[in-house]
Amino acid sequence: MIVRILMIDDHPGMIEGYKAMLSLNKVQHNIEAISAFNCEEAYNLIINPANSSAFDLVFLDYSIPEFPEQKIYNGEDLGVLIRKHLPNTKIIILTAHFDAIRLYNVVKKIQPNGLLVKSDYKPPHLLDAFEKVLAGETYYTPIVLEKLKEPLFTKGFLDSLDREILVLLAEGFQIKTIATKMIVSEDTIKKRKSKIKDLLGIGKGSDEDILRECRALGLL
Amino acid sequence: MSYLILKRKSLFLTFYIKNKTVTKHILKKNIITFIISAILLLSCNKKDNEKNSVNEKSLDQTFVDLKLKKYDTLTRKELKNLAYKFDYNNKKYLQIFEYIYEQSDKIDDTFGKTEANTNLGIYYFNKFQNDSAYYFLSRAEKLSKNQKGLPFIGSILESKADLLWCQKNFTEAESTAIKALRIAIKKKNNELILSCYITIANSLVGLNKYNKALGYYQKAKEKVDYVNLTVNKLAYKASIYNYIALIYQKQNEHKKSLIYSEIGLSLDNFKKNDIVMYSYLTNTISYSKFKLGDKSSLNQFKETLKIGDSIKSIPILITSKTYLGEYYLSQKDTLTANTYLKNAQKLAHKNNIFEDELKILKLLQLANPKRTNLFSNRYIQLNDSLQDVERATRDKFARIEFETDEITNQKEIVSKENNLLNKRIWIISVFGLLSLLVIVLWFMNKSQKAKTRELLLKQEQQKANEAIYQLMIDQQQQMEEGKNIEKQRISLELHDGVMGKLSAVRLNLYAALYKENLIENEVFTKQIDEIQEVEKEIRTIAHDLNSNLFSDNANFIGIVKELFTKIENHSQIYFTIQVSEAVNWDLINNSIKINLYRILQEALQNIEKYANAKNVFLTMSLIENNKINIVISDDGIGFDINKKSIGIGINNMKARIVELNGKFNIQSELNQGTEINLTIPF
Repeated sequence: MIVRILMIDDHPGMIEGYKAMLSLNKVQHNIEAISAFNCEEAYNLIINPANSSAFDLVFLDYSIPEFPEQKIYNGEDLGVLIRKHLPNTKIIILTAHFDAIRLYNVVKKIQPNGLLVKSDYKPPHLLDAFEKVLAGETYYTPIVLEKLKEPLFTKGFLDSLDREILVLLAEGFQIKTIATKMIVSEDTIKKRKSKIKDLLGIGKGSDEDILRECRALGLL
Repeated sequence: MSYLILKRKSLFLTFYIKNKTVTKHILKKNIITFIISAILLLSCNKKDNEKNSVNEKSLDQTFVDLKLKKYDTLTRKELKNLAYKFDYNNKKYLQIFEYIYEQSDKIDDTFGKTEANTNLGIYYFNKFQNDSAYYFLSRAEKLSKNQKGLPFIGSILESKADLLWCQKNFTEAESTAIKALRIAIKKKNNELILSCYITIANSLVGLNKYNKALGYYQKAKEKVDYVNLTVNKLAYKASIYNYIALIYQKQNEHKKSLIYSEIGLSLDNFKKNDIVMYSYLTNTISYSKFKLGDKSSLNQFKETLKIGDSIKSIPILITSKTYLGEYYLSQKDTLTANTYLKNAQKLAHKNNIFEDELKILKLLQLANPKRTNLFSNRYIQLNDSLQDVERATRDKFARIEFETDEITNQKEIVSKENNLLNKRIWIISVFGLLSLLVIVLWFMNKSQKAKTRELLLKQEQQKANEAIYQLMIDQQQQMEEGKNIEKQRISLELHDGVMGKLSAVRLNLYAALYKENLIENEVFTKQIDEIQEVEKEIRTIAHDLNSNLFSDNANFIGIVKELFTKIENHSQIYFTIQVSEAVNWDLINNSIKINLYRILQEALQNIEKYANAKNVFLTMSLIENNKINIVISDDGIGFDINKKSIGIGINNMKARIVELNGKFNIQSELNQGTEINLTIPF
């Protein structure tokens, strides 16, 4: 059987690595891979209606060059887009990030079929994930499973908006930019921020304090 | 022929003292006049004095007491009243007014001075010391003229007129008496008016203006009735009649003379009450009768001669003898006439009654036709010498007047100079004070300005300090930011780049090895795992780099640490910094922080340059909740703090601490290191 895979990663070497690894699959699938090295390429492939059922699987990296014209900044945004335009395509996210918020957000928003932290898995695990996902199962690496247990998220203290704000803050954006990116008002961001501070128990701290606290907690 | 002048100086005195009961007759004696009643009145006064002698001791005591009192106008009045209680020719009277003059001069009481001078003049006038009298009266006049209301001026002028009359200066005597009269009339002082009338009339007689003189005598005669005289008003009046009679006699109107003198005599029983007045009037009457051809005059003349002899009245004796001589001359009995006349001449000459002597000499010429030359020569001689004396006296008076003027002028000049001096002193002191005030104000203003400027400077300095601190913080932040950006870049590079590539390498390698069936070979798999470990390590590093982005060195302690690090980097000194977390640096004024920073910098420089230390300890802690305590100690070679030449560095530190109201303490011993202890309130 031929498995058509869209491989999105800014490192060509990585894509080569995926291909090389997948060629070793035990069920002898034939791999047909198409590469996209940034958000724009990926976007064009995804939204193309001709491709609506062109891929069985997407290998999606988190940090890739953005495509701000269509407000696509990372793998997460692409994931949402894929779910919308390619509903039958399975998604395996491969990321170097291992912070709880991103992982949690990704899981919440995209519910990827596979989620692997790059430095966290050994090459055979990639094959395991590939096979399991194709078989309709999910495959998350252990660190992901651990991070997803974070009570702040599971108990709903920090909702998706809060988490997104935190992510954007961590990336160094100002309130104004964050508001623009999230398409909400600045006041909303401010309210959210003070809520987050209360939650983290840092009262009147600055943005830096929020991020420091989040990092200390492993959220970021 | 003698004049009888009955002058009542007490008229003036009653003007001052109303309660004075004993009016004093003042009798004038002078070269050509003799006042006969003097003897009588003197004897009367003697009786008075005896009565008063008991009183006198207590009066003396009063004077002593008053002298002890503080001299003012009240004391002056008391003294004056006391003086009037003494007899007019008592020495105490003189002493009291001399004292009044002296004290009034001291307190510059011009009225008192005038009063004293007037009374002194009158005193000397009564004592027949005309020069002194004239001196004091002139002085009184000058003083009076400088005052409002011209006090005593009437009395002064009247007395002066009397004096001038005595000196036979009739013209001036008349004009002065007229001046006094005007004042007396203005002041409605009847006693003074009367006195003036008589003086004027007497002067006019002297000027041979008999008709005018008669007019004034008439006025005087009428005035007597309106004057309050307690003693012998009739004798006074009679004397005026006698004056009139004498004038008519001079004009050879002997009938009129007889009428007036007889009226005078009829006024009272003078033979009993006033023998002197009786003698005068009798002489006048008899002379008129004799001139009218009545021979009964001889007995009258002889009677008065007897009376004169018995009461030892030289003027009466001279008059009677002269009249007798003239009588016998008319009877051609030149021998008897010569006897009387020579006798009278001797008497007159002896008693300096020269006017009478002149008249006698004239009669002697008639009595001795053969020896006319002798008597006429003597007459001329006497007349000339008399005129010389008069002239000399007038000159003397003029001199006295001039000297008084001069003394007054000198006094005025001195007082003017004093005034000028006083004014100058005033002006100088006022100017001095003003300039002092101006200088003081100027200095105050200047110091105020200086203070304000100092304050402004301090404010500016504080601002500058804060600006410096802000700059330092900014710089620190910029540096931190730069570092952070770089860290972030490295973190991202490691995370996304290096790590991703390593992952890719690892996957590719695994695949390649797998294809070559080498994957079972542990040598390879181990290396692949090793690569994964590297990845994880990089991941951690990247994360940590990112986490420490805001470790926040951009605060005071950061700056301080930076300071230490800089030195640490290029020296062999090891620093230990302990900062108490209790210190909330955000609450501390930036100005304090910058000063503290400079102090630390200074201290560190000293340590680096001189201390030769290996370890330096810095502790900063909170004490008493509002003070920071900073201790900088080293284990260097130390120094002798007793050495005078403490470096600029330490002085700078001290100055800064003083600026911050803090305490500075430095301890050091040779080879024992140095410890600087600072306490700064905030």
